[in-house]
Amino acid sequence: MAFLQISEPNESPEPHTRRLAVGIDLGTTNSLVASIRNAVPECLPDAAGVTMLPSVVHYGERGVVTVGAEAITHRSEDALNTITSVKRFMGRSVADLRDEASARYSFTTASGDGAFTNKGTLKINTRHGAMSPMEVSADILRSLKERAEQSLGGPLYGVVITVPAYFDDAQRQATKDAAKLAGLNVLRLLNEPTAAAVAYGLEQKTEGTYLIYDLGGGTFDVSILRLTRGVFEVLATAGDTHLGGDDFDALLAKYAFDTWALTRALSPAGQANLNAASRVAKEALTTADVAQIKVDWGCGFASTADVTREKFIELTQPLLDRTMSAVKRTLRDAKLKADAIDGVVLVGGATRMLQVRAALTAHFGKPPLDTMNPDEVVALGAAIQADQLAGNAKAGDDHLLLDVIPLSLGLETMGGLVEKIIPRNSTIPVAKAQEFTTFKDGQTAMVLHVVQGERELVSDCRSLARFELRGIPSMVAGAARIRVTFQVDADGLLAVSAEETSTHVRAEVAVKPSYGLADGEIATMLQSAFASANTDMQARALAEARVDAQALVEALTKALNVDRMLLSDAEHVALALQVAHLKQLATAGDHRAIVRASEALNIASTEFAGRRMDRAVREALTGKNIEKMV
Amino acid sequence: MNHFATFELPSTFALDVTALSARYRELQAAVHPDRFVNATDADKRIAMSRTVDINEAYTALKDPVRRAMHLLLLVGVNGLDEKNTSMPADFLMQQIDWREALADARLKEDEDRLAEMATEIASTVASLGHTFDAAYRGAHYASATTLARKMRFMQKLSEEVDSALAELDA
Repeated sequence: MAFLQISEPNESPEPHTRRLAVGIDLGTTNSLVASIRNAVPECLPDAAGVTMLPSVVHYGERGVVTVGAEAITHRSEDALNTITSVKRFMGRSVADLRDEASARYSFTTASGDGAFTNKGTLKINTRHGAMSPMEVSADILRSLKERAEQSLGGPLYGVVITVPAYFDDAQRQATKDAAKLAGLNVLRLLNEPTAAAVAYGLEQKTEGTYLIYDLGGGTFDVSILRLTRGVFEVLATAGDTHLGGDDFDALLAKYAFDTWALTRALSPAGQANLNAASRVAKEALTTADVAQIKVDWGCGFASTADVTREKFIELTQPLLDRTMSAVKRTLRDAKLKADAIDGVVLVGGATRMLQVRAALTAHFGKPPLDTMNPDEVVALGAAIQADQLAGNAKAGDDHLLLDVIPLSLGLETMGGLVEKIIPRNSTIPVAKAQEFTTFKDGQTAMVLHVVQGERELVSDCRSLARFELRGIPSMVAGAARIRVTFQVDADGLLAVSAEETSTHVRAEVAVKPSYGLADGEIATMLQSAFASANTDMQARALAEARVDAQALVEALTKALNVDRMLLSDAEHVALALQVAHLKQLATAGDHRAIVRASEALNIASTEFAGRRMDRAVREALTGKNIEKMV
Repeated sequence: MNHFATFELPSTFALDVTALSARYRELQAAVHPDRFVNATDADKRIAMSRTVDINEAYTALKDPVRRAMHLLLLVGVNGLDEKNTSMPADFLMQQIDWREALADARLKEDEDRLAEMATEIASTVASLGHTFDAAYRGAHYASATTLARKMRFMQKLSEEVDSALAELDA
């Protein structure tokens, strides 16, 4: 549909071409799925009419997997096989775990991921075997997918999945892998605060500079966005992927534990009960001055502890302070003072805590905005974005998101120091190249260690990937020119390539860091998930190749009609012939031939695509499409 | 590559930043990868690379120090050349004073003084910018280069003040 948007901005897709697209908020404690229905974004409920799906998966006897409220019922009797807050483990290794988390489950390390020497990501031991966080997340996503397909009455074309803005590359990649495992076509990974801004900004039809304060179950983000004529530009973002409502619960739980003067650690089930009771007390304290933490240990034995709101606020002050220092950092990064913020938007159930509202009111001199449900606003924004990316939005209704990377990306240099290649808060997509050289005579290989973070020392940053560039021509030290390119795409995902440029000898490696799952592993998992025979896989591959080829043929046919004048007669004939060839191949049964011809056509049409893009740029500069952005 | 040309704006330091931002948004609306999610791979690749170029050009122009360095590059001067780092003695003395003041404020955790310094630095950069503009327009590239370097020194200082402020918040 993108062709139509460029050439004929006022044309909207035919009703029958409307694609089913949903937004998914894959949360630490709860997940939601939303879609545009009757021109309004809404969260889709389950059969019982409930929109929030607890992000809990239970791995039961005889291979039974349950997700959501039903899974929670197993938490007491089968804590080790009932996985909660799996989002905290995404893209993480056993070494990354903090004590609280490592107490909950039994972990193992995933076996090495093939080409890379990354430390393996963690797996959780369950009765169904060692499950990666991606597999657990995929179970949650599958449940939402089924709900959406039943609700919308057909297979999904694509999804937008939200991630915390502060997720690093490993966590983003893990989320995308989880979606692939669930059989979802990911149109885009979208940052949660940006999604909230879309829902909020489009509903309120507002302009100005907004700060989004997003305190979820397990993650905290703050983003500052400028909304101008349908463009949402993220100016800066900060956060903490290990800070959320769960941590406030945990402090209350510790308080109760100390009050009862318990002497030994609780069992996983006991701890889960205590955390749940603490959460209930925390929620009660948004309206009551005193609440009770009450845990029934079974066998007629129970404990209670009273906690006042004042005590709760005192206990959790350090957590609130951490969020406020992130708020201040974001303001500094955006080079703005607090009074330049037109409004503060609350996102995430944990922003119902009164001390959060009080702290923001004090800092910004006005109460935060809360006209939208803080639990749903992220999913609603994702649904709006999914609808537009799928090509369903009417011209004039479309908007544009310009997001940033949250953490700097760099390379390890001599002495364990980090050379930053792409600084944090750079607008994506972005690419940067930097030259390095050899430090020994005759050196023919070089190890590149890619890291993410703000600190000077490699050991304080997150290690993303290590790869080796081989085949550097033998030269004296300092003579080789190794050009390393970092490229971050619109999903915030990084690809790194390296090339020796001083001679005509080329040595190039392209790396897409992958965490725990190599592409082959995903294929294997998909295979077992579909429990299908080889012929089914063949049929699937053929079907996919045909769908892709048809889309390509349609898109190019339209473009050739509309933009005929951008090609010479010879060029037009050549492309038209190739399109016809692919169209014919697509009716035959050889999926490899279809894929090859599609690739060839894509390459052959690159020049044409470039000319059309140039024309679009010229039109933009002469203001022809300004009305689109109003 | 002339980044001003990307936005069809005149190659001048006294750039209308509002106009730049407006052009930037218009261009992004035309080429951003979100517009090509359902398009061919060729379109996706081109959209990606054009968007990267536009982002790079915008980054180079919206910040005054980078803008000055880019203008110098357009007349063949690399203001960031590390072989040529000599700066006027009086400026270096001033830098030492600034840094002592910064170290002092940091030690005393004097947030007000740090905020004050940030404001002073910003106004110094602005006035250096005006002088740079005049020198560059008069084709006095040697003095323009020195001025651009001074702006860069001040920007580094400003970053350190910011990080001192950040430490106080942490």
